[in-house]
Amino acid sequence: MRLNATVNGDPVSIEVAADARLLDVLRETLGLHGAKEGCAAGECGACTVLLDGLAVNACLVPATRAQNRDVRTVEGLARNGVLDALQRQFVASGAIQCGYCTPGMLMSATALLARVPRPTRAEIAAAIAGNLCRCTGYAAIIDAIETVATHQSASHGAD
Amino acid sequence: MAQTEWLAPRDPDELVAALRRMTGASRIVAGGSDLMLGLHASGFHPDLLIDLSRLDGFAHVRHVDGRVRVGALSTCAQLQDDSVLATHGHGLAQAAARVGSAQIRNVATLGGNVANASPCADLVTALVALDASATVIDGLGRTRERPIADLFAPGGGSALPPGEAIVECSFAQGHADRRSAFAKLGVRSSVAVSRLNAALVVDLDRDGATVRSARLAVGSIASAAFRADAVAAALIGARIDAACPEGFTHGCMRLVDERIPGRPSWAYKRLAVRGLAEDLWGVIGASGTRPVGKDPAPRSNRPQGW
Ligand SMILES: Cc1cc2nc3c(=O)[nH]c(=O)nc-3n(C[C@H](O)[C@H](O)[C@H](O)COP(=O)(O)OP(=O)(O)OC[C@H]3O[C@@H](n4cnc5c(N)ncnc54)[C@H](O)[C@@H]3O)c2cc1C
Ligand code: FES
Ligand code: FES
Repeated sequence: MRLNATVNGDPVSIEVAADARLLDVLRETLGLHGAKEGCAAGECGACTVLLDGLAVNACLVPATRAQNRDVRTVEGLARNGVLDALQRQFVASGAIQCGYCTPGMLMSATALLARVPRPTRAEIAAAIAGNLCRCTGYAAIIDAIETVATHQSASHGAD
Repeated sequence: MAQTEWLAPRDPDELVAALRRMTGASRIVAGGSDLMLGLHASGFHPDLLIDLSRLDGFAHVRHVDGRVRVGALSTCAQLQDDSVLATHGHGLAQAAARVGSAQIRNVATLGGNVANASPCADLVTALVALDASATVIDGLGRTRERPIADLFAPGGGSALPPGEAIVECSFAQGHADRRSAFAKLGVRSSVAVSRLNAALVVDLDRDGATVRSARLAVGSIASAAFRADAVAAALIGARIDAACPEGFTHGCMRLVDERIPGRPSWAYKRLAVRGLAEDLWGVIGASGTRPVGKDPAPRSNRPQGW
């Protein structure tokens, strides 16, 4: 079937199989390799993307679900070659080691901050509970997200 | 290999027309969190996929005429924060809050949880305790309301024939001061950590503090969640601000002894169920109506590694 969607702000119109996973369409048809396939079973979160702003596992979502919807992947975070605040802070906080979990972590964090601009550490931990990281032990990741939230809400508060 | 056809009905008429076309090799997909995983793992390509996600008006939670009605397409993320459930179905909201991860809860639906008929489905356990029924529609447009338990085959799995879809689940609110709670242990992960879940519904006397009647449902120690009201009867007459009655915790442990004696998971689940019983009672006592986010911290741990 024909899938019409917006991916990282750009309209796409492609042919997809009715039972294709969104992950395969992103990676294979659209060449977006940011979302990773870790477990293919909804457990690791490496494939996390945003569908109309909600974090979902692209390995479990049918590609058809994106019809007339907005898909965001990690490739859509940077603007004009400049990393966004979360990406920069992940680097600064040492929240990345092997980097396999990072795209998914960033998308879960992006969804959280859009909904809860000033989350508690517990809320951050809950938001990334579906994103496994076998390198960092999570503390640096939670620090990075918390730092961005603090800065963003401080700058909004000053408006 | 023939291509999978895709139908995405937008209203009940289109749904009925789509259901009429289902064969044994057709599948319904709601959130996809069980279905897509199964298709991918097995390599099975259905002849027809009916995508419910575009159906309008099946994601409601309403309290009408003493019944709480929940649309089959309500996601766990919606249910966990729903204001009607916060007062009239706390146990179901709590169960929704404990399903999977944020990513799973954003897609996982009530109807999918019931139709998937897993022994440890969390929403099912909450619904069984609430004495819920499901409204099912078929390819001729006929709707029937059936007790939830009728949707599960005796040997396990779904008893829903191809060509039927769940459109709503509902439960009576009753007139009494009713409280409900849900608790679970273990996490889902590829290493298959043992799991156990339970839900409790109590009606209080007019004093708002003494248990008049109680219903218990336990999941993941049988092919589907089942009622164990004889165990819950140990709570009748207890004050909800008192310690958890021993008769109740012991009754819960006996259930595990009876249902899964000799299984490798028996010793773990026997101890675990004691904690669950106390958790359930704690939630009821602290007020069955507080916001889901304020519940005691879950006992489960993050799965280790991939
Ligand atoms: C990583 C992971 C963690 C999970 N954790 C939990 C957990 O903690 N607790 C828990 O209970 N579950 C858990 N699940 C299982 C799953 O997410 C739930 O069962 C969910 O509610 C299924 O809903 P869905 O909309 O995604 O169903 P789908 O996958 O779309 O469908 C599931 C089944 O039901 C059928 N179906 C769906 N909707 C209908 C309908 N309205 N009428 C008739 N048939 C229908 C489909 O054909 C399919 O057979 C987990 C799954 C994953 C992958
Ligand atoms: S690849 Fe999707 S959750 Fe692991
Ligand atoms: S940095 Fe290696 S998995 Fe997270």
